[in-house]
Amino acid sequence: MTLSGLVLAIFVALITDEIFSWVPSLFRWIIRRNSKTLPPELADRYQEEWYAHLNEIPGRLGKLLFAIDTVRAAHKLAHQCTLPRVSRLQFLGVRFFDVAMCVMLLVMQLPLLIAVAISLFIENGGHGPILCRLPYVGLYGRRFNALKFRTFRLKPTGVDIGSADPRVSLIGKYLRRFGIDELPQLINVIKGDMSLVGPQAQRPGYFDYLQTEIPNIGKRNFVRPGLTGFAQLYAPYEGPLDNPKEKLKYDLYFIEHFSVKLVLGILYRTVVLVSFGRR
Amino acid sequence: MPNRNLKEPRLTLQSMKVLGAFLGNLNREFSGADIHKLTRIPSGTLYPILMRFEQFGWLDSDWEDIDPSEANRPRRRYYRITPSGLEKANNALLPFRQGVPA
Repeated sequence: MTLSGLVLAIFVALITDEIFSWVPSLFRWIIRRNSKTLPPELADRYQEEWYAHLNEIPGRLGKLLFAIDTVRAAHKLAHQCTLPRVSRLQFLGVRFFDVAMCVMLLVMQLPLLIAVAISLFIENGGHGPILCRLPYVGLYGRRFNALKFRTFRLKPTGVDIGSADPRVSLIGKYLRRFGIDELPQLINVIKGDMSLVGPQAQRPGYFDYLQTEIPNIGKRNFVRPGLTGFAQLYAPYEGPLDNPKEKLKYDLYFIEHFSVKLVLGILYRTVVLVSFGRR
Repeated sequence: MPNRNLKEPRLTLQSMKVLGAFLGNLNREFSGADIHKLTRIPSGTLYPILMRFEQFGWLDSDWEDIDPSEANRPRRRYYRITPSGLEKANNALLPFRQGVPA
């Protein structure tokens, strides 16, 4: 009985000794793993800095808590330090493509645009504006006025109740249904306010609110806002992912992989979606 | 290095504690562990704050000047406050020093 007790005690002592001698390398392993999630230029620095910090913490429990907390630190640091790097070549390429494409589209749709303009002109007996200008947040947070066909009545009454908004005029209803009211934004694209593909343009007031809520939302302004975009396609309006935080993930992916090729791909997907519906 | 694309760091209670630690002894350099001992801010919050201040040019940091293999421990990274950081810290902490609610 005492002999087996002794053997057990020695065994336990050996095991705990073994485990405790492992522990420091375990802590270092956790830290190494976490610092690896940082961008390469920072990974080495923080690995060494955190090793030094770990070295100065007295107890094992403190060391463990510190090592685990570097998960949080690395995650936040990675977000803080990565400003999106958009390739200038791709940026210019997309701009060139935008202008060429929009000039072509505008020429092709000129008859439609003229017809809509005339019908809006007639609807109000020759009064009131045909286009309206709405302020939006653009590239690097600059403000610009987006052009749209006016879809509201001249003296709007009532409040927005979804699909049957009483402020929308008769022609406006059809313009909205087919998205024709957005077509004048092609002029914004040619002017350089917008792009064909990019994050959705936000109203200034709402964007200011988002900036207080979501720390990294400003990063989406590193490219021009677009008529269509990655987030608009894959996290569509009123879908399960329709919230600014989810959409930002898509926008940031788009910005990180910003290229003419990706833009063409998203345009293609948009055309397929508009022509054949969601699949 | 300071980065002009960033918004000025928000001064939360914890980031003010960090600035307070630097103001406590202006001639001293602090390692992350020193600041942790003074402020008790967990590392998951502390290092992002330090980096944000550094990115904004309020802090400056450099490696400890030792040979890690000779000293038998990893090099520490020391932070010190810059003149612009000092100015910001003084302004931010002024209400607390005067004992007037901000």
